[in-house]
Amino acid sequence: MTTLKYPTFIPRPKEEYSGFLGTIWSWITTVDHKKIGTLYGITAFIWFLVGGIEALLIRLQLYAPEAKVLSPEVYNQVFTMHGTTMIFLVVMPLSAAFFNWIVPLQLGARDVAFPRLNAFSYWTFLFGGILLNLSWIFGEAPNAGWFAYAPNSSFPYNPGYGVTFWIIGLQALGVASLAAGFNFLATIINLRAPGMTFFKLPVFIWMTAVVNVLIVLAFPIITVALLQLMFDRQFGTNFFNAVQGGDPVMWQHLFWLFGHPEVYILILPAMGIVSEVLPTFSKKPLFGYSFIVFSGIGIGFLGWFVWSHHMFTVGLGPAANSAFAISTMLIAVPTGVKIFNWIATLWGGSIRINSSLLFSVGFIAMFVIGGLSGVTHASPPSDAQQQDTYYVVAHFHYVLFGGAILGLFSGIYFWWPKMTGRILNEKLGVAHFLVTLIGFNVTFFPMHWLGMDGMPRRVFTYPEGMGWDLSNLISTIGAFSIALGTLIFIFNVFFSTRGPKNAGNDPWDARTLEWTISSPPPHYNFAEIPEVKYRDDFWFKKYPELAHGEVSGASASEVNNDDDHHVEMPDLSYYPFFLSLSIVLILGSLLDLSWNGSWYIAGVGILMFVWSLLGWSFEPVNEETSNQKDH
Amino acid sequence: MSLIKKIKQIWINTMFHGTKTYFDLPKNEYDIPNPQHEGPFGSSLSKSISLFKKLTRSGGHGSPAFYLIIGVILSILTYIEFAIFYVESLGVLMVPILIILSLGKFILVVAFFMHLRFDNKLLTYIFFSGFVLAILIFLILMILQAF
Amino acid sequence: MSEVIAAHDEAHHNSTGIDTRKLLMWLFLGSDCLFFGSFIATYLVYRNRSLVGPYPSEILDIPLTTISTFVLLMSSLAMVLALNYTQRDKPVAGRYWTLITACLGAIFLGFQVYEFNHFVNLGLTPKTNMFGTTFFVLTGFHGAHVTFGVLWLLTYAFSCLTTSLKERAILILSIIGFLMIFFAVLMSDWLHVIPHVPFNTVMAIGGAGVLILLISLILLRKTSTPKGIAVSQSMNLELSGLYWHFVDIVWIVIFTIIYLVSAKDVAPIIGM
Repeated sequence: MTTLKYPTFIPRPKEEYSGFLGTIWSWITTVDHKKIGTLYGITAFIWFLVGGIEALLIRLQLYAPEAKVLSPEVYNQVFTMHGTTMIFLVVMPLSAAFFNWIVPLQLGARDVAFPRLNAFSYWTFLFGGILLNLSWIFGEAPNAGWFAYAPNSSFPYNPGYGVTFWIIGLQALGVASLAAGFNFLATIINLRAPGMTFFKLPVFIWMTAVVNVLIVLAFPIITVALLQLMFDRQFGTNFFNAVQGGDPVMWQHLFWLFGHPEVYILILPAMGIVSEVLPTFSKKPLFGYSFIVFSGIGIGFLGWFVWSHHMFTVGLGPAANSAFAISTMLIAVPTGVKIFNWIATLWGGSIRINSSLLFSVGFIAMFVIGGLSGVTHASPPSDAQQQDTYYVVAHFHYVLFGGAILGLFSGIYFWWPKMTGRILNEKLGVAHFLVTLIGFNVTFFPMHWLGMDGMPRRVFTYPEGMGWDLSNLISTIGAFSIALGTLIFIFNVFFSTRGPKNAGNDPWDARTLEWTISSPPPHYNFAEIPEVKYRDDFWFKKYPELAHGEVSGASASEVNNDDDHHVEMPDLSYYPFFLSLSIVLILGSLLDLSWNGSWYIAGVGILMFVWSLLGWSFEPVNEETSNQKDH
Repeated sequence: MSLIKKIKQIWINTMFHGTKTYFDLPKNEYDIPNPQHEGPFGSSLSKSISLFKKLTRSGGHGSPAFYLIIGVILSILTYIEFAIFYVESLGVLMVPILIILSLGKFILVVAFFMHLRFDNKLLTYIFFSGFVLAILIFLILMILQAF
Repeated sequence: MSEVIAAHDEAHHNSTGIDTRKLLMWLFLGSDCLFFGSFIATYLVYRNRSLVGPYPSEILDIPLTTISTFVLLMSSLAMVLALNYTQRDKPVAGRYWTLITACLGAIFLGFQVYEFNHFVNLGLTPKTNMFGTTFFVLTGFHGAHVTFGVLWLLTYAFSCLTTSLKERAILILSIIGFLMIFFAVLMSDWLHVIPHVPFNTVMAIGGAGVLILLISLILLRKTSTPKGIAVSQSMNLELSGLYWHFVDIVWIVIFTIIYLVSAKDVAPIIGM
């Protein structure tokens, strides 16, 4: 063989080990998209609990005027970390969990295009999140808000470790998201089942594609912005230093150039999930498939040209403000198209109400409220009133919690049987939904009034007699109801794992390819790669009389699921783990350059980086067969 | 006699594909049209793509001589840029001319050295969606920051 | 066994006919456009905003940079030739052109090292003014990309274009020879990058480097690689080539925008 024999130091695991350490080692070295999806989901849910506790601390501090639960310094850290955690460590990776689990299954593929890169994404996300949260140990968590506006985050005004932790943590998370983005795009473009053209893809895949295009194009910008901020802080450059002619507004521009596409990165996966759930439970095809797809693409495109609406009060001038007001109002159109399509999907369908559908419908309702309040601050004069008040907080919680999180919960209830073979308890699910929905509205609806009444966001307390007391108290009570709802969900998960695996292949009478195989799927997913003829192909295989032409091929019952197939899957690999570790070590060493230990950490990181990058490159996908084949 | 023959042989070996002429590009796998049910847009665009391929004689990779010619053109363009820099009388015209010249170099490298001209069109769409988007949003950014 | 292979081929089923790794590379390059776009946009926004000197007109050296641009362009030409020969199963020519590519890239980096050093000597550091900040960070990240590309090419040459231990040793020898010349030039009196080296030492290192490089290059003219191996590995070279050309086109843009367009910038008439 021509390739170099590379010294590996650690023997490559060929099959999964048993025992406690062996199990951990097999999870560390896994390249299976389903196991990585599970890891993503569990990790993101743990961060969800952490971010939720931070939210509860915020609400406790604000429950009454002049409360003294948190000091002002700690309060700044808590709200910054709440925002950063929820966006980068919860909603994005929870979406990534669904991408990992569902995309290859819906495409009819055996794995993502680059399984080891996929593992690398997960481990970098995990280590990046840990790095970001290590700041709590130093007692100096990031405290400049999730957007870290420049003069406030520059070294002279914020000399602690906090913002540096934020920068290096986000760099690691950016690397993870970029790697995952390239991977999923390559998967969607190249690993579709035969016959599955782009316009036969399930809508969830379409939304995944749009999200990953946004990730791939938006994250380089934040990478550059973070690099510039880091150079300013660590090496004394002048990017945002007004004394030397730098411009802090430039940070805002670069941040929101990334930040606005990021908003759609957060919401579009939930939209994709809802577009899968609604047709299934109303037994109708999705109303206006191409409208939904093209409005998704339209949102993804227009999302690039609205970023300055976050900066209406910066003083960009009337011309710029008007232009961005128009583009912002324009983006409500494709979103509205989707809402109407979802409603039309439900209209006249034979609807089966269960927790997954309830969460989806809740998503639509809450997202409409959030979208409407969003349109109100598309207008600059109105935004000047609302900027930095609780009205904005209410708006983005309606779209991010009422939108993204409810949509993701809908997906959890929908695909849980496919992932585990067990259906989540329906009564507990409905209870979870009701408590969460009511608690959510109790928490965030009063914030509209608070904001209109002038209560600014990010203040750690407020004086008595402003008329804000009652609304804040109600809001705090609501926050604890959401916590109760989450506890019901956790109980539901543990309760359901005790039940039998009785979900079957297709518990919901659903439409897409993942339901043709057993639950949970075998490690190779499809014994035979399916041929696709129609959009919602599985549905027409089950009900051929509904198809427009004649249907050939296997019906659902004939799908072959013998475990006897010799399907070759990529071998396990530990290099992704060490490559991620090395990147995070190198980033971590940038924390404090004046400390000598940093150089040792960086040295170890670089050595590990070179070793694992080379090892990764020279490692064949499969050990045994690499000699027999010429690739 | 044999020396001339040998030189001729070396010339042919380094400059030609086999015994073909400079611009006869070899057939390769990308010439075969995508299957009807696959490809980026299903069968909808396949006819126009095949027409386009016919019109532009798209083939595989160029011959070394072809790349040498591109390299010479690139060098000449660089020299013109360098020379224009010292022409004071151009005034405000200098910047647009320089940008057009560098765009020409950019396209030559991307189209021929990076084989986009010979490859699947999907790759061109991917690359230029990033490139065009970068130009659009950063132009807007610069306009915003200019005031 | 046939069933195994059939299943394996299905796993490598491919919807568009594009090699998936190449697709990934292009996605990465499309994304990298935004990376360099952000830096270049930052540079342009901050152009003419330096409050103190040195200003670009006092410091940029257009003829020198034209030469380094030419070097990088020629490295792109060498790269495409390397790929062309490798794909046509001419591993020796492919190997020479790959080494020439890496070598020209290293020479470009040498120009950059000289330029940075020269600018610092003239009083322009990343901390000095807005020009220094934006210039050093942008060209520095470009240089980092070139460095990675050189290392990638050398790794490729080492692992895929040489097969026997002997060839690899010779390859390493040629790299050592090149590095000796490289550092000898940097040490020389007229560049001032590595100062205070006696002339005789420089000549000795440089001469030995030339000798080692020549001998090893001559020894590399024959290969024991069987037919077809280089072709089967050529996708790796194609990927590194795509990366290399991309770095080249970024430099085309940087050369125009930072050097040619703004080399006449003097102190702004009105401060910010």
